[in-house]
Amino acid sequence: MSAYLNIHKLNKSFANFKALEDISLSVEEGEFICFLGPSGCGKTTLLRCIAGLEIADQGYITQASKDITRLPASHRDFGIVFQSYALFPNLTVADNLALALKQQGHNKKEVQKKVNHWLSVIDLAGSGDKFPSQLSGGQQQRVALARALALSPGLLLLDEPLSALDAKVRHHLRTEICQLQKQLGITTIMVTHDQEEAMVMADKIVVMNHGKIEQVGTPSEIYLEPASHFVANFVGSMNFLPAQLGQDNEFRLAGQSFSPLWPEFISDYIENTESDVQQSLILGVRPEDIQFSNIEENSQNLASNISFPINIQSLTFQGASIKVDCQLLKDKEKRTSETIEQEIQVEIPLQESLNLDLKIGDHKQIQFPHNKLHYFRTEISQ
Amino acid sequence: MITTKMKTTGAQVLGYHLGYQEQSTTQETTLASKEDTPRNMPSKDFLDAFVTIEEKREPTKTSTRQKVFALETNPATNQTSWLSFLNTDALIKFTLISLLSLMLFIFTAAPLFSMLQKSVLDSQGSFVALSNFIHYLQSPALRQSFITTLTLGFSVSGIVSVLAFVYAYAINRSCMPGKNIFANIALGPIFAPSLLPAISLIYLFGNQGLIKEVLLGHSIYGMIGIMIGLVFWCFPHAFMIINTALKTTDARLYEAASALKLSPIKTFFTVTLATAKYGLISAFMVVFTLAVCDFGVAKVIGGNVNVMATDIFKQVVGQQNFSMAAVTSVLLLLPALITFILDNRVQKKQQQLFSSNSIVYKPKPNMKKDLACFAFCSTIALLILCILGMALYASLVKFWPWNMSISLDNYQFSQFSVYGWQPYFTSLKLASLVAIIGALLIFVGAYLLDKGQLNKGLKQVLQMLCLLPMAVPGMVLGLGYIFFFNHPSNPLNLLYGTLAILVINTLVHYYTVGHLTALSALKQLPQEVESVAASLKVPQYKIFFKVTLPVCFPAILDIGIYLFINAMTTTSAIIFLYSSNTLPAAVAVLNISDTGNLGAAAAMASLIMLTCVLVKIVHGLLQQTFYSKFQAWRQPREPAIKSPLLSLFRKRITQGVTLT
Repeated sequence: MSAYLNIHKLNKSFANFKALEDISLSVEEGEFICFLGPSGCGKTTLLRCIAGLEIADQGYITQASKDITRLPASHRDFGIVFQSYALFPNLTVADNLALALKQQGHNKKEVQKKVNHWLSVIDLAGSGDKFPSQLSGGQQQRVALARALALSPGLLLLDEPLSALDAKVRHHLRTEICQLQKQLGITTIMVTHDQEEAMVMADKIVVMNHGKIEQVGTPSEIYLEPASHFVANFVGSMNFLPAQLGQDNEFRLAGQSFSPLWPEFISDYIENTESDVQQSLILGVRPEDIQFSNIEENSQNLASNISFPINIQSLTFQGASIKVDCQLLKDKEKRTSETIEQEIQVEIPLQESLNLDLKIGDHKQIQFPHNKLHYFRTEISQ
Repeated sequence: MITTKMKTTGAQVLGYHLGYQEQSTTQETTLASKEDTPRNMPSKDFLDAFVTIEEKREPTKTSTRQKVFALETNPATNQTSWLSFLNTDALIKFTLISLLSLMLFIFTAAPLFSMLQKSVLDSQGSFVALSNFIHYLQSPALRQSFITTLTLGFSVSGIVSVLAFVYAYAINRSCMPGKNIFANIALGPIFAPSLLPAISLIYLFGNQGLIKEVLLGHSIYGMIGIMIGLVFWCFPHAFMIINTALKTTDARLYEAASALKLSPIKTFFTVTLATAKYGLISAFMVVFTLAVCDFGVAKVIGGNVNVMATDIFKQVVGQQNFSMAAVTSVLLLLPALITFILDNRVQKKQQQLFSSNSIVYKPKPNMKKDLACFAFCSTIALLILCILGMALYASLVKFWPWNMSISLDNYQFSQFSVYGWQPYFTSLKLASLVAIIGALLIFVGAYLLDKGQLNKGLKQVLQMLCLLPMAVPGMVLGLGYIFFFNHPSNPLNLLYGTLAILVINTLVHYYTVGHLTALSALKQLPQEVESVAASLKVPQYKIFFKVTLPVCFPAILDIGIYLFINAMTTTSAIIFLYSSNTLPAAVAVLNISDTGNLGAAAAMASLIMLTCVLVKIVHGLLQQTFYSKFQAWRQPREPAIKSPLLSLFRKRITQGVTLT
């Protein structure tokens, strides 16, 4: 049994611009997938290819075991919601929902029943006679959602549906869409550039960049094991530290030597990199994985922890947490206050920062477990 | 957040339709303020509803599955669905696009091409390269009219731009009373054929003029007369463009200027003039084109002075020298084309100055300034009323200047011309046909170009052809029609001399403005509406009738009225194309005044003006009922435009076309 939606080696170009390059992906029935990426990464184009609003140059798409690659949109089985709602402005909310049902040849009573049902689902039971412009943005988007679902399509496509809404409305609608999706069990694809939205809503995230898929995985996989420098940078925030590889397969980072936790990665890396290229790599660590400790109390379990002396540059209050910008100090042993050109960002819970009583200019020590370190190739930068 | 979306649509609309700007701004704020978060809380009812829906959905879900399954197992079903797809939307689209392309090529491109062709042929029809042009430049009389035309063009556009700027400035930047009335009066001359101011001037300053002493012995016949006549006739066009430019200036710029403690004079130059700069340039160029291409004023009041437009007329009607007429046309086409292209560029820049979230400037009272503004506007408004009223009054006078008693004698047209009242009814018929056919055709054409997903090359060519008529002087277009349709080997020459060719010609002549209006009206709808319709399996034509057409209906009405008024007042293009039983009223004015019956000419011109005003009033009423009955969904309602007349002619402002 193959997946509900199969995309195989899809290519699409606009003039000289390659919007999609060899995209292959499969989506299981009932899954909630997010296409995540910066603007221009091809995520919307991919969605439009699935919808039949664009026709791919090469490759094929199958939906429910049927080849739909060249099928016009009106002959595919999907409902779609756009950022602009795209409601019919001169029709009432009820008529917006009824239009497609009438077209399907349902009789008046049936249509009325279905419309009323959907109105109650989206919590707008009394608003059937209103025009879209009399509703708030969030309400309009719910009407658009109900309209997309009214024909019971096999696939629901959401094109940045929440981007036009206020933060608060956005959060509520997020949960509503998720719950509705789970209840209906409808296969759903959402395009978004908001990584938080993708992580909260999706079963699986497809991170895209420059028309290619960077990584496919569950939100936690994407966050905890980013496959590339780009993914690590785009999803959440991460400190990137350039390091050198020594002959002894140890790497040097800010004047200290460490033996890597994953020697396989290192040996693989050395094998696949030309020897005359400087043996350097990029290490990444997320700000929230770093902790502060006082310089005096030298960590007892130094073997599993990496630690650096730092100088606090600035503190940014963020509500529940606090962001600390630090500068690495040159030498651990000599305890000089000379800094090196490497900034590092630390995020700690507000309460903890109050306990530590951090101040700008403080000399502290930061530490993080060895296994929180991510390894990236240098050539995949930015 | 909604703001982002609105901003883009606002900006797009702005490009074509500066008049719509306020609308999108207000919509934006109201929507944002209506964002009531509590309504969006996932209530208990909301969650409960899922249970019901889940139960009810099951059967429908399986039925969809079955349908999909049937499609995949039975290839025949699949094929039928493909065919039905071809039968509806695609077929309609293909037919309409072919028709539109054919029409634009035959009625726009081909006549112009044959005109260009004619300019390099001699009277025998053999190729003579540029020798016709050399001959033209060697003829002193023709050279003189070339210079006269340019002189007129520059002086008229200079005077009109300045006057219109001050007038619009007074309306937008002062607190004087009667602003709406002034704005409406300024548009008056649009309702009259260009001959009307010329006739009025003769009554005022002519040999038997009421106040000819004012000219200190100079004759009104000639340069002075043409210039004054053109200034009046072109004033509304310049006023509308500059008025829009001034109206859309962001008030925050003035706040910034006062925060920087700039003097009022410095503020005027750095803010007012700077932001209206492109509007001024645009107005200058539009008036230049109008002045250079106008035929009526020079014909009536020009005396011995010839301009290029009258040259063409004489060459065609008098001398039958078609090659020379073609050369003159090409030379007349050049400045018009150049200003059109320049104007395009300028308009693009002007768009960049606005954003739909700019704040509307509210002037503060200033006794001295307001008084000066009021005095200026009253003078101009009085002059306009005087000119318009003069023709009306003269038309009612029994026998100027001997018997000044009031009568309707001059309206007994059968006494002055064999055609009697016939031309007036011909014009009514012509204008109605142009308005109805044109509004629908232009709208459908714009819709196809905008939403038809055409091949890129074809789309660009068609767009060019839609914009081209704006740059072509009426006389030139008319001449092209003679060359193309009167050609014996053209199967379409049976059109020649019929009312149909007048309708087609007038429609093409005024196509561009209507096209731009339609495009900007289409921008009111989100681009995705068609995509949503496809996903809902609702055919595109159905959405066109159910959604697109009703939403754009006010714009279609606007286009119709615009076409009607222009068809009533135009003389230029159709002067070569009418036959004895299709003589239009505006041409009849010309013919009657040629025979010396100025009173009757004034009567016919007044009749045209009154008809246009009446139609406009009916349009206003229609629109009002339409808004209250069928446009209830517009929330908030489109703010009443200060001047109801402005709303009609704001299309004239929409010259700013992106040629992409």
